[in-house]
Amino acid sequence: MADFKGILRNDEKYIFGLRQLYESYGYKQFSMSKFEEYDFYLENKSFLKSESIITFNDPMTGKLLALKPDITLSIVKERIDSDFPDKFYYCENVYRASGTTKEIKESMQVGVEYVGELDRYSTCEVISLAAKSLETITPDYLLCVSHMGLVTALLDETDLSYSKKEKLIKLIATRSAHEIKLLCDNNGVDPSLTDKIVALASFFGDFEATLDEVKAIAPSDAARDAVNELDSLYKIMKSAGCSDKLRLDFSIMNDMSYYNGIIFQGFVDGLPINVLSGGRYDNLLRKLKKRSDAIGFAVYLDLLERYRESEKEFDVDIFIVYDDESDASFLSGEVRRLTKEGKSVRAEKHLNSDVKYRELYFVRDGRLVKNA
Amino acid sequence: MLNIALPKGRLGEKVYAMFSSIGYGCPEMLEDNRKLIFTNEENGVRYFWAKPSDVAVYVERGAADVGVVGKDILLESEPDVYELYDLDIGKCRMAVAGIKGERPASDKTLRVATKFPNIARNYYNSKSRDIEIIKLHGSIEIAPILKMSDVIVDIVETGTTLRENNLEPYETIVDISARFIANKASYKFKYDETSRLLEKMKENFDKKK
Repeated sequence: MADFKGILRNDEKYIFGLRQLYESYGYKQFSMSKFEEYDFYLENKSFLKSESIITFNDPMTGKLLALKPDITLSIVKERIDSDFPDKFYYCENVYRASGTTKEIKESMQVGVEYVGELDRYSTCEVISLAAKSLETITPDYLLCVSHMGLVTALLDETDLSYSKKEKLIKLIATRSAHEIKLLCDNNGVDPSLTDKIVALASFFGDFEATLDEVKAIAPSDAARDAVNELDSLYKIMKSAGCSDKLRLDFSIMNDMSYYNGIIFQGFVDGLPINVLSGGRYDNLLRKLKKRSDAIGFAVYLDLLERYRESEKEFDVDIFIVYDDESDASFLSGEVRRLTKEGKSVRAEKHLNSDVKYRELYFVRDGRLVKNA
Repeated sequence: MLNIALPKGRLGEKVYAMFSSIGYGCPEMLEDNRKLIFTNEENGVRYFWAKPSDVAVYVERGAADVGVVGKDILLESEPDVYELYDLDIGKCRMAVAGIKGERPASDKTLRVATKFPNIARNYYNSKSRDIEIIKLHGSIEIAPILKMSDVIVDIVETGTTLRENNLEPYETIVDISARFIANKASYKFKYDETSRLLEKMKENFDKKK
């Protein structure tokens, strides 16, 4: 195959790397339609990270369609419960609002979904695929792991209302010890329990050491189950040699009503936000009246467009300036000859200041003359 | 090296003095020059001044690893950052205020003049009150005097401006103070540096509260 290294943009290179990775683990590509019926998103609105959706009418049927803001929903909705899991990966554009201005942007996502009965192995397979995905981008990455089961078990010990719990989750996500204390004190939460929640929000660092600290504040059965799951994940990741990139981090948060088990986010050094996000979302499948479990993640490739890329030195190797007198067949012959030598050539009537060139030639008296 | 964004003005200068007192000084900052960015390799810090409302933007986008910003700005723009510490300075409150002795009619849409539409909307949403927001950029107090709005939602420090204009605070929405914030990714990759600074802040400033 030809070498496209010089032409591919960063994000394009990563797509190939990631696809190769997922194929090597036997995941099949899932190719999606561009649109979905809007109703479908409306029903599961809180699963989506952004609320703005581009909609339009199908002129044939009059149905309201939407440009897809999310892939996961589309993949799981047609799942037929069976003993066989669906193992899919996808590379698709999604349309969602982002940033402070909330403009809708097209962005490329590559991701993996495992839908079916989940055991320790398959859970860890997906999470280690997430770690390997980050590794294809850079060795300087961190995979931060949290467990919704553990967080909700601790919050359930308080008798706060659902909306107060949601507020508390937001505060844990910002690691605001002072705000957590304020909310808990104002709502009569037991001070020792408050301290535990504050501790949970501030955990970060070596996975194994942190997990020991977590054990100390996780007395309930549900919480213990979560700790055991995290423990076995750590052991498998350790044997795979990527445990030093793993962090326990309970500020990673997702919607309680969709995500239930392990959730995680990936970061690469030099990017201000997470480039990967995923987790276990059995609750979504229950909402869709399905028995299957599910876990998956997505890599946000649009963020990687500029990642660690040095500015291109030249747009073309050779820029040729010709004029009305120049012989077209001579010129096309020369261009063909130079491109065959492996050089990139751009021929124009005027010197274009937008194009950076390595060498400049003029067509004079039926010859190519190099600009000294 | 920690990149620190500080808000221009009195609050930022006070914060710098505090940071300097716990070992994060950068003498260049006090020189009278036109530099924008100040580095002290020894203490591992690089400071820059930003417009207070922009500090959160610099931190959210990772141009600064950490910064100090008023809670009012965090509530208004809701940036995706960690809010790690309450510095307990620059204290004031976000309040609803209006003409002294009057209270707006509860059977009409409440007209609210404010520089903080998001905070005002969230507050009245939580009370299920029907409101109309009038976004202004300054001198909010004039709005109720000229009957353009029923109330204002604004920062109240001492209440002097309100009193001198025959206005009074009706209710407090939230207490405001300066907060130490961090970029979510930088926090992870520069965990040791960031948490060292945070611990020093707790050690030295907690007891003064």
